[in-house]
Amino acid sequence: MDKREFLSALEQSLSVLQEDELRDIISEYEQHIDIKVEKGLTEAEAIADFGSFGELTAEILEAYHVRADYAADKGERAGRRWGDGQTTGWKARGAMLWEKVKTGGTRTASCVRWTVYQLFRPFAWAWKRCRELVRGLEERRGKELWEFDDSGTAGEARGRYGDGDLNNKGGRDAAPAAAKERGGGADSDVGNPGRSAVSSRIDSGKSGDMVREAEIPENGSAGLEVEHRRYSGVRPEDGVRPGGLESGPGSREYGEAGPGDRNRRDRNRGVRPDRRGRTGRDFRDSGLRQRIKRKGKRIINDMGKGIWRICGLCVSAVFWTARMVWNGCWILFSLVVAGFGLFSLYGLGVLSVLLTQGYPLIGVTLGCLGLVMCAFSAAVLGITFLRRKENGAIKNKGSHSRQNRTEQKAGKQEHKAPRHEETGRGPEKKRESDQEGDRRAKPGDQAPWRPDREDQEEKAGSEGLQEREPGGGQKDVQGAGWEDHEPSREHSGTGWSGEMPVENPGEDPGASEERGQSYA
Amino acid sequence: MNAQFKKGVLELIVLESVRQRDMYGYELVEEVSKVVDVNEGTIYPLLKRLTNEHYFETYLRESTEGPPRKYYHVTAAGILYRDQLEREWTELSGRVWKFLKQNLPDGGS
Repeated sequence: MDKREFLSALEQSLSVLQEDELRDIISEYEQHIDIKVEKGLTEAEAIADFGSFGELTAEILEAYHVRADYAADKGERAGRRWGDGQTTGWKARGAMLWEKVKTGGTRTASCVRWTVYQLFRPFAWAWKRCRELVRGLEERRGKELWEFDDSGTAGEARGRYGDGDLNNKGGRDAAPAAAKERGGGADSDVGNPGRSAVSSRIDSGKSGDMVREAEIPENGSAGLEVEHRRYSGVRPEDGVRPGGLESGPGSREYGEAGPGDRNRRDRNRGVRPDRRGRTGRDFRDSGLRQRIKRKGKRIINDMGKGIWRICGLCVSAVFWTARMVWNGCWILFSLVVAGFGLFSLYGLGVLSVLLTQGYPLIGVTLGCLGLVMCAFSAAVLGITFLRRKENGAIKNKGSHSRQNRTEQKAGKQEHKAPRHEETGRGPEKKRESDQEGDRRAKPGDQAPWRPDREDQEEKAGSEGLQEREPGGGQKDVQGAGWEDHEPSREHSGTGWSGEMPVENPGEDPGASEERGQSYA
Repeated sequence: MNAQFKKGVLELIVLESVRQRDMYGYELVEEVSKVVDVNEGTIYPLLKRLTNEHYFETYLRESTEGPPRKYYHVTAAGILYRDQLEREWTELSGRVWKFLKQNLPDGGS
């Protein structure tokens, strides 16, 4: 083996080392061989004096705390991968680098995947929940369990919708008659006593709901499946004209009372006029649509409130930021000026000392004194410009919150005190009554009357509040527009003895109250 | 001579040699060979290890006989390490010698 081969083999064996270290080792051995050659030895003899090549490389690697077998394995793997059968330094390093890149890429990909999953996890959860809610609503809408009770010729059907009430005495169902008409026959199993069926709504329209009823067999046999349209107020003896029920003799219009119509009011209660008598159920029996509408309105209202709050928060944040910037600027100004003042104070001290020692520096000293006073005054002035949030400040002028009312009352308490003393009603009583009014006055379509009421109170006070009743009744008080606000007082519960307004003179008061509740 | 013995004292010999004067690789091999007969190939790894452990410093010095040669210079840590090795070697050799003296037929008990 000559010097070149020895050094090449040595370089390959030590390829795991760094380039500069490897170069250093190779140069040393090369120099050693050259010196020995100069001494008269051959290259082979000089190389032979190094001993075993394996032991030599092992000892060199051991000096760098590297396993000799690791270097050998790495070289072999690199050689196999590159397919040249030999392990070269740069190829082995390239293979190592590629391994590292692959490992790093795999880890990076997994990190990215995990990050994306965490980011979109809330959205996926929300989407899943919405789908579950919609599916639940659809299932509730479709499922019905009917129990047919064959009593009399009409076959009054009492149905239970979802988890509703079994005892609903809603519109009578003409399912048996319709089935008969369609050829289901009087012998149709649907409607016989003791049989139960599951009906699912297929379509809904003005004439009623198209449903498919599947009988639930008792003995396990297949049940009869019937499709029919349900409509209200139709009895077999009234006659059914196929295809048009709105103008048929059996259809019920609002306000009409047909024979055998026992609970017209119960059935029509809470149903919109254009829907009465048209659907196959009364309002409470087929109220899913109404419930969905109400829920939708509630959701929209909640969303609107949420958006309004967010807007309010944004505006508050803007004002807060502006206030912070303003305060920061003035604080900075005060600090700078105060620092200048301190420096001037120091100068004043020095000048004072010099002045006492006889130097003619009185003018400069006085000037420095003035400078100190001006600087500190400016600093204090800057502090006074700071804006702070007032505790209990009135944020919204038209708000009916109790705190605002308290602040308003506290602010106006002085000039109102004489009037309160005359009537014997203290400000506390009046505040309680106002608060009660705030609690109960909830209708959204009524205009806020509190500020006007206070104006009215002032006017009433000027005209003499002695006319008021101790209990709080104010019906005798004359004031501009006072009668306009009476409807709201009915909800306040403050002892108002006036009559409640009636929207429809022909109706019962209870109907309007319940309707108002249903609309709410 | 037992290779393990030589391997044990090689560090001490190399440190002592470089402490006396700075040497380059071939010169140090010749100097160590005067004391113990070691494989020349084992000197350079030892020098590299001692250099990595900051017991030696290296620098290049121009040579009239060829390319610049790398000289080795012992550091303060190397001197301390050399003193420690000397103490250990003295203690070990003394104990071994004492043990051997006890077991000798003429001096043993």
